[in-house]
Amino acid sequence: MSLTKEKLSEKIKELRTSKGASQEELGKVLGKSHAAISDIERGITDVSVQELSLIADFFHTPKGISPQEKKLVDKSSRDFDKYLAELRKKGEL
Amino acid sequence: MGNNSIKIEGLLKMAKIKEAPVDLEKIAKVLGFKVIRYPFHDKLRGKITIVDGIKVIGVNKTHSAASQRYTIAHELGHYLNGHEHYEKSYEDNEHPYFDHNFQQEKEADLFAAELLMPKPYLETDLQKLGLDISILKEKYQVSEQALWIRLTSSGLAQKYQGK
Repeated sequence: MSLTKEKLSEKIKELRTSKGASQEELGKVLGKSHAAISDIERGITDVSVQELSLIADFFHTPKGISPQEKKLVDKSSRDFDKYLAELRKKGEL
Repeated sequence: MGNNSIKIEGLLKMAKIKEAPVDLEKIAKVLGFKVIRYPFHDKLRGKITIVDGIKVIGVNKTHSAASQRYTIAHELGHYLNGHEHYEKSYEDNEHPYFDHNFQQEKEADLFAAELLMPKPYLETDLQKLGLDISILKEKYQVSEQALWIRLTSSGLAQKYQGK
């Protein structure tokens, strides 16, 4: 499979939608309107390497977690520390 | 980014790794880390911790193999970037770009992508195989999304577009 301009455009759209982001949100990152993003995603407009880099940064943005989940995540982290302490006690670490 | 390249080149040499998939456990070992798989909460990919000189990378064993590899590389990124708060996990934040911890997470993610998919290896494989995503993701043992992000942010996607 080789990468055509159309494939790259489709991929940008796929990554954006998989992240649950709107064209407006991606547009803000690139300093473009949602219509301009739509043109990029339809392969009408080319994307520069600099813009691709900004898009990649945008896709690195982590999805947020709720305060309830945060508590569970913190507990999980503490449980791991306890597990390590047990391993150390047993001489297995 | 250039700084990452130098570190990664050194790590690969130290661990005697010459091609993909990059053996992350070998790299962790070279740096003195023990990798421990643990059933973390689903939203926690892993953590790095150093207690009394014992260096550990915890990895969520309920996640996919590709995700676990990314986690090890990400945690090594925290360590090699000298980040202070290793154990910080992703938090809900409306403006993550201005959050200090988010910047560290992003740096660790960039490091992970470069370590899992070193540019010289990708260049060699792209010349040989072309931009064949299914073969490349198998070879590098990464997710398709991680591969696309690496290819687009490095400029390689455009360079090999249509070749």
